[in-house]
Amino acid sequence: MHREIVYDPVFDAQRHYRQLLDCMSRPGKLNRLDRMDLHVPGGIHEGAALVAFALLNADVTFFAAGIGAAEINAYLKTQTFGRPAPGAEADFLFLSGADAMWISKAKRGTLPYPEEGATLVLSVDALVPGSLLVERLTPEGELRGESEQPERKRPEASHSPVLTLTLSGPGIEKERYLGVSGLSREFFTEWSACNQEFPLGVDLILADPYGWIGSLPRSTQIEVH
Amino acid sequence: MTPYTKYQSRYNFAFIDESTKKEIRRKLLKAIAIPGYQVPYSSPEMPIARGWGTGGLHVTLSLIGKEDVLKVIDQGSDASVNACNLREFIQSMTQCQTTYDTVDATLIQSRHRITEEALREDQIFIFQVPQPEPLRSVERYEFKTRQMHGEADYAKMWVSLYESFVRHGDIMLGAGYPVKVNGRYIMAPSPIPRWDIPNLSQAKTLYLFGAGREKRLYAVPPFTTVEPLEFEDVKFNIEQFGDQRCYKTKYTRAFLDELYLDDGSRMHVVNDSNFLDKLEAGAEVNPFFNPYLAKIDL
Repeated sequence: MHREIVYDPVFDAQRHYRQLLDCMSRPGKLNRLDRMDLHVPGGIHEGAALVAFALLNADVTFFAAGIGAAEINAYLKTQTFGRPAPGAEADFLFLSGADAMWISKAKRGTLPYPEEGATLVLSVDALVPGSLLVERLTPEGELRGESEQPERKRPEASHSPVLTLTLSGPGIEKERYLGVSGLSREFFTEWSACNQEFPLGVDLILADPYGWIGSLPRSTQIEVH
Repeated sequence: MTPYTKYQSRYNFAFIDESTKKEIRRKLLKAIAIPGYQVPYSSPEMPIARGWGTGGLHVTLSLIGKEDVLKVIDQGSDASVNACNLREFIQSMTQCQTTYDTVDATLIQSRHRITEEALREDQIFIFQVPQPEPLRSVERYEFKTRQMHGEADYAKMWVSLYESFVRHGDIMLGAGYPVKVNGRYIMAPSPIPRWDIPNLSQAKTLYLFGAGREKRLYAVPPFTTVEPLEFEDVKFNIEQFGDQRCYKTKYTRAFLDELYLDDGSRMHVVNDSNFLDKLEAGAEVNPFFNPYLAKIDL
């Protein structure tokens, strides 16, 4: 496996990190990472790989689950020098679909050192910004009709439903909405359970196939519709 | 002397090596996820001594890109030694643009002041912090303060505020008044005057704190509630200047510096140098506003 040559570890990492920082400090806000045509293995989106490139090095451990786990492990190890580790010990977990339920195993930190809680980097089918959702939300908070996004059509193959999340907490003025397709309702229930004992918890970074990334830190409260 | 030609620059972009930048970047994300919690970090060697703004410098250098416009202030002034040297250093390591104007800046590194002008969503404000531990005055050992933070056991802090009131009739804390962030962690807001504390709460800007000597990073995300510690019957208040006005501009709703003149008399002047320049030039200003400022007559 070759190292990616189109990626600039100084300036691309800096630019992507600033977008990630913006996402993390304003939960549910989406930012788009430019396409780089990396040779990313299946099971992980380019956005998730770019997050790994910006954050991982030999000081931290990561974990990938699922069918493509071996390739993802090899790829991230070669590109970032991060060290693979079991799911319960890893600092970063790269997950998607049903494998996201590994969240229940992820470490949550300790009371004196809550920052040791893991970061999940999730490859999802689509992220829908709140601005597009609000028009389609009925007063009861139910989604109206199928998600229509002319410029960001979802792939034909995946027809997973869009979950609408209502977010509140630090970084959000009152409420913000985020649509996520490709993660189950049970996943978010499990995530809320992980964060029950704040400051212990798990932080999420979501990446969709179109390069959009969003973030849900443990301080965010969610309501799933 | 042989000219140094192998690389364009002797140093990595923004001075710090990429591996350490990644570490600081990861820690900052965790700091934002746990508002007010102090994340330990490596605090690498800098060309200035620890305790002279290295924490702020680490944060700034791991965020900054070529497109950024940088402003550095030291106690409100763009022109004092600390501000000038840090600005010159960061500029020479990144070739970024620099400015005095708060409105033009994308990154603002500050020692002990928040600007008088309101900050925007696209700006990031970075504090240099000398002592990140608000409980240090009541508990000497780090492992104990860490446990106290973990358990949200802040009884000692409240007792010390109560004792201060009993002894002196007031909470005798000026700069660095302890605050509670998001209803959870008690945080030292770096020694900003009480004047600036209300501007931390529900702000549009991301506030990042770097304590280089003490090796701690922490953050207040935008739109986060930051409450100064106060009792039901003894309330927090900002500094009162009485009927003093800035002698240059007659302005009252800004933090004032007291000047002692040769004849022993005293005068007051607006502390924020860029804000003062704008007032003097009659330029349009968009200052912070909060309920405490509302009580001050213009």
